[in-house]
Amino acid sequence: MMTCIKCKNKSVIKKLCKQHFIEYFENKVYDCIDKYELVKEGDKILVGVSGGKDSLTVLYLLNKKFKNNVTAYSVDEGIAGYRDKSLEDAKFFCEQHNISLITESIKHNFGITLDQTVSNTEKKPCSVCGVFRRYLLNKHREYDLLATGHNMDDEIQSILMNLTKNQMGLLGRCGPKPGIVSSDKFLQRIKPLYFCTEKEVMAYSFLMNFKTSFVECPYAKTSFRAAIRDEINDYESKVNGTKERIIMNFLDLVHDLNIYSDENINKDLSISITLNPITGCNSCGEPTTRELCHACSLKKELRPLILMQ
Amino acid sequence: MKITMKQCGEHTIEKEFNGNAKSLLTLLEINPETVLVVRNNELIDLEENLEDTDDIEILSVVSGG
Repeated sequence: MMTCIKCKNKSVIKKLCKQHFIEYFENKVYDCIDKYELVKEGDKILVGVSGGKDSLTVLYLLNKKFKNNVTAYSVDEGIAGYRDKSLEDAKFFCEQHNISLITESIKHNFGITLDQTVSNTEKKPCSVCGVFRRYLLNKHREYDLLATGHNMDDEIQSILMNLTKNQMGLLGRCGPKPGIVSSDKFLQRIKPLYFCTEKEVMAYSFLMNFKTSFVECPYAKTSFRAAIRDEINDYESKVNGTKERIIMNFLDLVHDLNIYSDENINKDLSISITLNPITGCNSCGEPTTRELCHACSLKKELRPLILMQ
Repeated sequence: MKITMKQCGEHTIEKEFNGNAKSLLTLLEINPETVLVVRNNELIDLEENLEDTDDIEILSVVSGG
């Protein structure tokens, strides 16, 4: 029998028993919150909840520490056989833990589901989903923070995707407390699970008996992100610690980048990133650097399809 | 040994096996980074030795979008 390195009970993962793994995991999350000052006293936190292991884990831990200041929020993108199941899990979890849950749908807000968009256009599902979901999340600026269940694996995938696509400006979305410019037009995001691998989150949710379905978004399987994910997992299995090194080196780099909203050149690193001024969308007033925000542009493009629904 | 793979959907296979969980994953060509191994409803360390009579579940850690 494999034993825990701390107490000699049966080890379940990382040479730790159930109790000591749970302690290790929770300490990692709370240390991240403290070190990166993710939450100030009195902050009202909206937690993006899909019903999956990551969002239920971050919801549970934030509610444990900041009870009465936490509200769950779910978006129904309209993905049959996937989102409907996970939303049931979200609802069950919130009822079990007495947490308020707000649910909004893309169909109700934009007139079309993601399934309908994918069936009738060439648009990449992740792009459509991301634009509409972020729009709805950002509208809730009556809260102080938006917490998501993004874990270390998610973050590494984003970093590598941005690098390979030469989208360096999007690196501003990375980090435990992402963002380049503070603005009352944007709901500040936080990622408390930043230093937890996907496997650790899964182990925690299993040991805590969180009821989640084993589902992957049907549109995610052939995505670029999935390909990057598989490669990184392959490297990690061959060279232990790869993921952690990528994240720590990235955080050092971001610290050095020191991006400004007007001037954009970091002389030491010779990287220039241009940030356009933020204005209000001509249609809805939400923040954008263009005439129409992404959501309104997309809605305009999909209008003929929306009218058919 | 009864092995249930839980990913998107679920399927079960029967296989004769003796060894630890890590070598079972190697035999099944599954990357240990991507799964948890559960024996008789309990999470086990990958170095844990398995018996041919064990009821094993292999849970994918990848979920979401």
